[in-house]
Amino acid sequence: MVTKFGAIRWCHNEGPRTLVLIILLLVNVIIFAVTLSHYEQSDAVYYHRLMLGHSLAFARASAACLNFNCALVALPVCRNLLHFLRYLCVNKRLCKRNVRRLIDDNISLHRALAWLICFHAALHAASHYLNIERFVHAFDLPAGGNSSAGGSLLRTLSLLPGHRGINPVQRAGADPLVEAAVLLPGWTGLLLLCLLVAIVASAATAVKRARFETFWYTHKLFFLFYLLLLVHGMAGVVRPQSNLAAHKPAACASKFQLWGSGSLPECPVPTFSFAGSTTWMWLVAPAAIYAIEKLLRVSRRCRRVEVVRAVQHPSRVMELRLRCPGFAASPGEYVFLLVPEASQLQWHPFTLTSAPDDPYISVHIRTVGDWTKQVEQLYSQCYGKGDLTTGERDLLPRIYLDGPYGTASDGVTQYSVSVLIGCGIGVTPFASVLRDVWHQAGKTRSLRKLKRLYFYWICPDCRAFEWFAALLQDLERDLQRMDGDDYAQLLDIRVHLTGSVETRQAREIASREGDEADCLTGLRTRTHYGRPNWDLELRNLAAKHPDTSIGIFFCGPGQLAKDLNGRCNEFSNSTSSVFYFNKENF
Amino acid sequence: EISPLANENSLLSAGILTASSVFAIAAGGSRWGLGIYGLLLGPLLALLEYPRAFKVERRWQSRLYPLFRWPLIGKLYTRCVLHLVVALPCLFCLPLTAPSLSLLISACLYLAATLRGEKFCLPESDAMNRAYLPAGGRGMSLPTQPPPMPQSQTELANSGGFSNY
Repeated sequence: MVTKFGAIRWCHNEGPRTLVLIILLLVNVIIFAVTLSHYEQSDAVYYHRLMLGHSLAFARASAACLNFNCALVALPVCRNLLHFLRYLCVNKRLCKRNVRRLIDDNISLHRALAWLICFHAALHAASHYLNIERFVHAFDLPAGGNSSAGGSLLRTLSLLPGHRGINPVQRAGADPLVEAAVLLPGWTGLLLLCLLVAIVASAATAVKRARFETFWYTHKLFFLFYLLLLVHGMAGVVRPQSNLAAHKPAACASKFQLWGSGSLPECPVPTFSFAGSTTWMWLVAPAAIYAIEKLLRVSRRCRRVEVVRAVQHPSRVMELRLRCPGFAASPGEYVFLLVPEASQLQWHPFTLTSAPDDPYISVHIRTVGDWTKQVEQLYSQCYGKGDLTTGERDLLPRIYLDGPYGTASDGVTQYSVSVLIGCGIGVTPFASVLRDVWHQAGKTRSLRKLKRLYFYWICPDCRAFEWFAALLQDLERDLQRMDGDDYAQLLDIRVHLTGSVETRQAREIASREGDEADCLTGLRTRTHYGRPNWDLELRNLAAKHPDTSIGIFFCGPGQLAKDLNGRCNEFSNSTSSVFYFNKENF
Repeated sequence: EISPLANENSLLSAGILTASSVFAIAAGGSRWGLGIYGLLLGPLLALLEYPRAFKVERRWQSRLYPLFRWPLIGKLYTRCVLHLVVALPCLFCLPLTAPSLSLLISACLYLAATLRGEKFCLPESDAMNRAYLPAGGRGMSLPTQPPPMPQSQTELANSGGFSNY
């Protein structure tokens, strides 16, 4: 329901993304319309229009859109480029909050461009199918001409001396399938379509969940896709007329029997030439950006990273503390780790759980898959040893680090009220955010705009996250020691357990109801059982903080993200506060 | 696992085959009759491929209640052969060539999955679809309503004792 606060409030959350998609569609429409209009009106392709009708114009227009979209599609997934843009927006404050939030939505832009590529590829393929059929049909008309003079004109254009006609089909009785397969754009086009289907199919949720590497390596076929795209237009099948000044098609078309004869000097034989493919011009910039991305990754592989300590936490969680000179990260950022002794090729992402002020870089690795189990075996020799000496560190397997890369959590301190919602493993990004808040509140007393921080931790049970519960206990205790200080009221922790509870456990919880600390988490804050009632929570937030911009930072399942996003829009419309929804993409 | 990729590739290709068949029939051209073959078999292949169980964390989720319970349909090598039967004739009609090639790729992926020993699971076929329970077995399900608010001492005294809470 749109109230007096109206659609303007909806625009705070959805407006920037919608505007970008509208601009993208408009640019596609403009490119399509301009190219279509050129091929429908230009004299240079007059004879092509006679032979092929409107299908040539549609094929070229969709090709122009394909060039544009293929040039852009790789950019939203260039991590270093996004990190650089985020640095400009957050650290240098060169853009507004809404523009910075667009960077978090990069996958939506990537998908939109992918669907546009699929649409234009289908239109392009269908148009060229009609072109091939018409090329074959034009050639098959009898030499003496049929009842219409147009038929003989098309055959004449097909059989210009020296194979300089506009028709790639050069023999009678040709099979369109064979002609398409023999032509360079034909077989490259078929391969491109097959690659596109494979790449799109590999992006399905079922494939990613079953085995992420299948999606990853199939998506890497984009490199072959770009190569074939470069080669696709190089044969120059569509060649515009080059002697328009000497031969005016509109005037000379009806006198095709006299072309090149002395009796009609104003109509020499038309000549057609290929000006060259323009696809490479579109792809050179994204290719350069991608090359820089790869070079940066290679250069980071040369960076010396040392394992300072390995800590074993309950529930198969290993904490690795690393040291890397020159490494600087903001809270909530993530890195990629490569351990060649576990796998030569696989880089795995992990959120940093240390704050920028910590003297080390820490990641918490839960051993659930092959790679993590191998890594745990390699570093388990360090358990219980504390900080390792230089000699001990040199004996450990090498580890490489790529990053850091930013996430939506960069913007936590840009709001006066921020709400962090972590579901299950999604709580990990907020570990470093909370530690950073703790450091800043204790030392510099500088949290930019942040005055109040709510933290919701939702998980089926806490057993996998004892390390995180210990962090929260330290935070709660230290912040409450700031007696009388504003920061004592800074953090509000809500823990929600959503899993089923054993009968014995329920009895113990009930019997320890009066204890100072919660029996499950050890926090002074009581654990809630069941999912939060988000309507109530958001309404309470709006009531407590009227006329405020409230940042909601969420890391968890997609369905809950959609639900929360909708509620943020709803409460932004119906209350005086504005809820900005930010989702971690991981 | 390769079979999820084969399944998704096949589903997408079957959809494209159907659309291309409509285009081939409408546009005419050489061997457009194969478009009728594609139009009949493409949707059937899509229906066959759509019900698929896939693993989401510890549970198997079905995309749609399975329409086919024939034993052979669940075998990956049967799918490989079916894809070949549908794809090979359609290769000879130009609008259907690209989706046919994709179906051939799916057939190869299904063959590779068979050789690797993968199996296609229908969601109701085994215990993997049971709800996850914490270690220790028995658990209480959470209440659907929040607990009643505790009464104040005054209310307790006036009511003559403790409430059922």
